[in-house]
Amino acid sequence: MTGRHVKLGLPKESLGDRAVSFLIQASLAVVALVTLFPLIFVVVASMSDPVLVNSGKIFLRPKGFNLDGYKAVFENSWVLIGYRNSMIYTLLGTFLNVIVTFMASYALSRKDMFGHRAITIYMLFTMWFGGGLIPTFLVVNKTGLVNKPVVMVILGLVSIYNCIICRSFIQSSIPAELQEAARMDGCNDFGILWKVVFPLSGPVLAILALYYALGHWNGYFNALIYLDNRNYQPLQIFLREILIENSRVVLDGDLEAMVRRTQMAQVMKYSLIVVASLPMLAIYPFVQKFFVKGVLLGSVKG
Amino acid sequence: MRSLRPETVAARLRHSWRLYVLLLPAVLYLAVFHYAPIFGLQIAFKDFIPSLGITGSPWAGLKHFRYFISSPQFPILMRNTVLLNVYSLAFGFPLPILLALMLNETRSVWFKKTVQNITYAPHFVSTVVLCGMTVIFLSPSSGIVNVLLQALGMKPVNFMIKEQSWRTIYVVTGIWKDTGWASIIYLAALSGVDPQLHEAAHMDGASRLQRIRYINVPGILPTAILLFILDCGQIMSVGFEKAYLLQNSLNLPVSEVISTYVYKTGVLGAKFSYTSAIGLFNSLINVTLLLIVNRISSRASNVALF
Amino acid sequence: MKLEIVKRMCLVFLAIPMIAVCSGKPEGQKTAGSGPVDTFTLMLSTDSTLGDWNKMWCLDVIEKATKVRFQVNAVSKEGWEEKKNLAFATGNYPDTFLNNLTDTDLATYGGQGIIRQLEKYMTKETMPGFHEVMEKSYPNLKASMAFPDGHIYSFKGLSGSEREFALSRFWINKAWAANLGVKVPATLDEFHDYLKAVKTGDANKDGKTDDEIPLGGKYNPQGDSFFDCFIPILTGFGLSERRYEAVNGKVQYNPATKVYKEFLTYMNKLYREGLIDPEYFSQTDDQRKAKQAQGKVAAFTDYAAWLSIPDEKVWRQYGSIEPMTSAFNSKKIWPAKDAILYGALAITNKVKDEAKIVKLMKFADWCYSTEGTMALWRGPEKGSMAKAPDYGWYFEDVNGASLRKYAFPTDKYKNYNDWLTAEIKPGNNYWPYAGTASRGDATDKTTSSYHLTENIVTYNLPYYHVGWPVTIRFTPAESERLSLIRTDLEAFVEQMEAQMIIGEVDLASGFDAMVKGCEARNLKEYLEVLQKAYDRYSKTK
Repeated sequence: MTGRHVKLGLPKESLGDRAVSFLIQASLAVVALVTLFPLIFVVVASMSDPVLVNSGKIFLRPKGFNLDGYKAVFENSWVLIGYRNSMIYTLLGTFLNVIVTFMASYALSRKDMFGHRAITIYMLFTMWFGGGLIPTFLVVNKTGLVNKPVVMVILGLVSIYNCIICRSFIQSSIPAELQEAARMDGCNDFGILWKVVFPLSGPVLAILALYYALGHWNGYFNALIYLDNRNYQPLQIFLREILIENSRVVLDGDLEAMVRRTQMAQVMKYSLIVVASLPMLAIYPFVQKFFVKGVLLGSVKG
Repeated sequence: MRSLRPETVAARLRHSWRLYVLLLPAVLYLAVFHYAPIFGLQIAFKDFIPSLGITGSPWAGLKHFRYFISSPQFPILMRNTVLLNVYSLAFGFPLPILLALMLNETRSVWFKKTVQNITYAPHFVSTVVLCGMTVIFLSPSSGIVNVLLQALGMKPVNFMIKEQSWRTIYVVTGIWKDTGWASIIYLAALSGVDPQLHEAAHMDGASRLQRIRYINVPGILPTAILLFILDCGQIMSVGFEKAYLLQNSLNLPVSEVISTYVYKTGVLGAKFSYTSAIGLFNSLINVTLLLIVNRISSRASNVALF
Repeated sequence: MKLEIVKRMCLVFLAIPMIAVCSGKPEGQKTAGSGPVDTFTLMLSTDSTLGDWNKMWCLDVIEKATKVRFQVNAVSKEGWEEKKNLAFATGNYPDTFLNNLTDTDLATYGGQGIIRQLEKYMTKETMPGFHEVMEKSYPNLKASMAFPDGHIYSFKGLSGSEREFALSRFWINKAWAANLGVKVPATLDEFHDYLKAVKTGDANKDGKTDDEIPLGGKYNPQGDSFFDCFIPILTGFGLSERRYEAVNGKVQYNPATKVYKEFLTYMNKLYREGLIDPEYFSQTDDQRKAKQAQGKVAAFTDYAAWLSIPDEKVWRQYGSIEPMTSAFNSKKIWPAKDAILYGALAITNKVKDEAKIVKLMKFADWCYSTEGTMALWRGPEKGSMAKAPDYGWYFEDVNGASLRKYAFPTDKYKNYNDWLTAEIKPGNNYWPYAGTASRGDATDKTTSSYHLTENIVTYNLPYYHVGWPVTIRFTPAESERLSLIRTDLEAFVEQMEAQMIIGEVDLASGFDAMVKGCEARNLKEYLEVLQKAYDRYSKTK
C-alpha cells in the first residue's frame, strides 16, 4: 500500500457494492420499523385508558386519551425523591466505577505483569462463586456501611464483566508499539496509562460509563437490603412497589384501597417506563460521539 | 521458561509494582466484598436457620443437592433452562454483530443515529411491561398478531399455551429487547478500525462485502469471542422474572426453569439452604462449560478469558 | 370570636364521651395511660401508598393513650423477606413486629425463644378488654392464636365482618338472565344452560351475539382463589376447597377424589362448548379485569362486582346466587373462614423488662377497647386533632339514617382513604384491634360496599362451611416438609388439570394418571402431615 500512487478520489462504487448498500439500508429500515411498533405502543398506552389497552383496542393511536399516568407519577412524592437519589448515585457511582475499572483493566492487559494469570483468575472467580446474601450483609455490616447512602456507590464498584471488555479493547485497539515508544521516551506505567492509553480509549470509556450508569439507574436490590431509610431509596424501589403491587389479598373492607392501588398500577405502568428511561435515553447521543471512526488516525507512524 | 531465581522474582515484582497500584482498588474491593463473605458457601451444606447463624446451624451434607436432583421436575428444569439459553445464544448472539456491521456501513448520519436510537430503546422497557405487552399482542381474541392472522383467513392461535411456540416467544422478545443494546459494544469496537485500511482495500478493488469480511469482522472478533465465552458461562442462568411472567399452567412443561422453581419453593418460609445449594450446583456447571469453551477458544483463536 | 368559643365548647363536649369511655374501662386499665413514655422499635413491611409511618397520627394517639411510642422502621414490601431474615441472622431485630411475620417465622423463632410467649400475659387482670370481646364474640379467640407447641407468639386482632368470611364471591349477571329468558341458576345444569344462552344469544342487547363471555376468570391454582371461578362450581359437587379440606374430621386431597373427575368432566364440557373464556389459562390479570370492566362477562368471581367495573349501571346487574347443587351433591355449602384474625403484635426478647412487656400487652388490650378500635380503624373523629380540627369522621343525617362521613383535605388528596394512609393510619392488617367492637354503623344502602355485604350475607352466609380452618398452624418441621412436597405435587396437578379441562389429555385415562402421579409425589405423606395438624387443632376446640 505504501508504494502506490494515491489516486484522486476513490474508485466509483461497483454495481454489486451499491446493491449490497441498498440491501443493508433496507434491512435496517425494516428492523427499525419492527422494533418501533412496540415502542410506540408503550408511549401510546401510557396516554390511554388502561381498560382499552388491556383489551387490545390500542394500536397506534391513543384511545381514551388522558395524562393521568404521568400526573400520578409526578404527584407521587416518593417517585420524585427516588429520581433525585438515583441521579446522585448514578453520577457519583459511574465516575468511580470507570476510574477503578479502567486502571485495573489496563494492568490486566499487560501480559508482562508478574502474576498476570493468577490475578485474572482471582477476579474471574468472583463472577461465579459468592457467599450469598447473608454473609455479604454481615461483612457490609462490619464495614459500617449499612444504611449509609455511600453504600450504593461502593457496592458494585467493579464489574468483572466490564473489566474483561475493557481489557479486550485495550489489547486490541492500542498497539503495543505505541506503549513501547512512550516507555522509551521515559514514561513509566502510570505515564503510559495517562498519556497514551487513556486518550485513545474514548470508545471503551464511553461503553464503561454507559454500562455502569445503566446498572446504577436500574439498581434496586442493594438499596432494598442495605438502606433502611426510605429517603435514600433510588427510583426503581418506588417504581417496582407501584408496578408489582397488584391484587394483594386485603381483608375486611379495604377493597377500596385495593381498587385504588391496582388502578394506580395499571394507569402508571406504561408512563413509569417512559419517565424512568428518559434520562438514560437522553445520555446516549452524548456517548455516541465517542464512537467515531478512525480514532487512531495519524497515531501510528508508517 | 526461565527458572525463577529469587532475584528474578523480586525484579519482576519491582517491574510490575505500579501495575499493582493500579489494580489495588479493584483487588481490595473484591477481597472485602466477595472473598470475605465466601465462607457463606457452606450454607448449601447446612440446614441454615438465620437466628442460629451460619456456624451455629446444623450440617446437612449433600441433602439439598440430593433432593434437588431427585425431584421429578429436575430433568425438565435442566432441559428447559439450558435450551432457552442455547436458543437465545444461537439466535441472539449473531444478531447484534450483524446489526453493528450494517449500521457501520450506512453513510447517512441521521439514518444511522435514528436506527440506533430506535433499536437500543427497547432495552429500557422493563420485563414486567414487556411480558404484559407480549400477552396482549398474542391474545387470541384481541391481539394484533391474531387479528392479522384472521385477516389472512387463518384461525386465531393461542400462542402462549402452545409448547412449541413458547420458546420462540421467549427468544424473540429477548432479541427485540437486547439486540440494539448489545450492538453498542460492537459499534464501539468498529470505531477502532482504521478507515485507511478500508480506503486502501477499496482502491485495491475489494467489494464492500469483502471489506466487511476481511477488515471489520477481524476488528470485532476478539470482543465477540470473549463475550461468547462469557455467555457460555451463564448457560444455567435463566432470569426468573421473564419466565415467571410469561408462564401459565399450560406452558409449564417448557416454561418451568430452575429460577422459577426456586421461587415457588421458597415462597413458604426461608429456603436459604436449598436455594444456596441449587445456586452452587448451577455455578459448578457454568464454570465447567466456561473452562471447556475457554480452552477451545484459546487453542483455536488465541483469544481467551485467561 | 364567637366561632372560637363555639369550637372550644365543641371540643369540651366531644371530650366528655371520651372521658366517659375512659372511665368506663374495667379495673386494671387504670395503670395504662399513666407514667412515662416507653419507646419500642418496630419493623414492618410497607408500600408506596403509605406515608411516613413515624409521622402518622395513629402513633401519637397510641402514645397518648397507652404511653407506648413506636419507632417504626418501614421496609419496602419487596425487600421484606430478605430484610427480615437478615435482621434475625445478624441479631439486629427490633423490639416488636406487627403482622408481617409468617406463621413459620413465629413458630421457628418462637421455639428458639427469640419471639416471646404471650399467653401468660393474656389474663383477665392484664387484658380485660380482650376478654370482654372474646366472651362476647368468639370464645375460642385465645385458643385460636396458639401454636402447635401451645404458646401464643403473636397477639392478633379480630374481625367481625361476616361477609369477609366468605372464601369466594360469585357474580352472575341477573339482568342478562332476564334478557335471555333463562332462569337464574340453582343447579349446575341450569348454570350450563344459562351460560349457553349467553353464548348463543344477545345477552346485553347490543345487536351482537358473540361479544359476551359466559364464564370469565384466570386459572391460578397456586395463588389467589378469588379469580378462577372454581369454587362456585366445586361447591356444586360438594367440595369447598380447591386442593385439600377436612371432611368429617378426615383430610382429603380433592383432585384425587372420585367426584373431582366429575368436576373436571363438567369443566371440560364447558370449555369444549366455548362457555369458558378461551383465554382462561393464558391471560394476565389486567386482561381479565379489562373484560369485566367492559361488562362483557356473564359470570365471574372477584372480591366484588364493582371492583373492576367502573360503571355503576353495569355492576348493579350482577348479584350472587345461592350455592348450586348437582346430581352429585344436594347439600348447599359455601366455603368460609372460621375466623379472621388480622393485624398482630409480636414481642421479641429484645424487650427484657417484664414491666415493659406488660405495658405492650396493655397497649394490645387498648386496641381491643372501643376507643382503641375506633382510632385504629376509623381514624380521628372530626375535631379531635388539635392541629387539624376540620378533618376526621362525623355523623350526618341522610334520609333519616345517621351515616358516618369523612372530612379530609381535598386540596391534597382525592379521597379520604388516600389521606388516611398518607398521614393518619395504615390499612386493616397492621394493628390488632377488634373489628367486632363497633359494627354498629348505620349502613348507607346506596354504597357499593353495601351491595357486596347484602349479596354475601343473603346468599352465602347461611351456608358457610369451613373446609379448612385458617387458624391451623404447623410446626417448623411440618411446614418445611409440606412446602417441599407441595412444590412438586402442585406443579404436577396444575398441569394435568389444565390439560384435562382443555381436552388436550383424555379425561378417562388422564384422571387415573393424575391420581397415580400424586401418589408418586408423596401425597400420602402430605395428607398425613395435614391430618396430624388437623387432629391437633380439633383437640383445642
